[in-house]
Amino acid sequence: MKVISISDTFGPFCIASDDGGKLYGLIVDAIKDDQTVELDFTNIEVLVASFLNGALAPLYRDYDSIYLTEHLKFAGLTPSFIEVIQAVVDNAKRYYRDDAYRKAQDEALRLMSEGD
Amino acid sequence: MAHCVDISRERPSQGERFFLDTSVLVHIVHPALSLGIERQRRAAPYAQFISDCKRVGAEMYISPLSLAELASIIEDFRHKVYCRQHSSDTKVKEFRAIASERRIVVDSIQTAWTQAISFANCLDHNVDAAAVAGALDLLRRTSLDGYDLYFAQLCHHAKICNIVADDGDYSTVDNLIVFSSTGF
Repeated sequence: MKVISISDTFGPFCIASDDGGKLYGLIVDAIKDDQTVELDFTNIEVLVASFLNGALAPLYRDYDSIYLTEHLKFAGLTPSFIEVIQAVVDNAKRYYRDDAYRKAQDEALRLMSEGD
Repeated sequence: MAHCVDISRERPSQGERFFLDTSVLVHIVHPALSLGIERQRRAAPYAQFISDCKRVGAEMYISPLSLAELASIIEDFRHKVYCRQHSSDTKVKEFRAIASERRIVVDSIQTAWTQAISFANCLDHNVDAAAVAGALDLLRRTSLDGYDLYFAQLCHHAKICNIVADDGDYSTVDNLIVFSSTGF
């Protein structure tokens, strides 16, 4: 199993979506060869949706959920990290797997944007 | 008029202080608002700037009223999604009475706020009669509305001259430096 220390790779603040995109690349490099990867969040101080949308959300566009459950593991999570990861993963699964939901979400965001 | 700074060309310094407007906050903490290429492109400069602030030791601030505005945006989003999914024109109050949807909204707000206060300090914000009078004055002199009237005042009282916003209305406020990627 390949272990990625998030704090060693990105520092203690997981905010930038570009950093999330880099983590996505590291994950894909591992799991495309049928390797299991563990993301270790030990020593992380800030973990937010913008980072996770870059790192985890596209995995649910590119891979089956069951494959990801088998190949993607987490360590060092606090209760609040679990909450935000769950929120991002739930939204990504629905967005990429449910056409009607994706259209509804896109339309809702378009309407909200027009109201800015 | 405020001075405007292109956030993608500016790096924060240690000790600098920034107020984060909800228009930016929501892009960082709401899963739907930074998902997809276009939305991610919009959120990315703000996420990078906030990340840089944490890295260099610049301070970021929000208001207790940021929760109210964030909650309103999150509920509005879920309500619109619900109406489109169900091809209905369910009113907001009817939507709030749907227990399963209410739970999703409340959980989303809680998760969003937990994230927000993990990187920004929540200031004390006294909205009293003087604040209302100040808000009315700003309403006359600027293009601000709603919560932004109080956020601009809070910046003034807390001696914070930098505001990170995806909202051009702040550019009409004197003595504020607006950090944005919108190029207004």
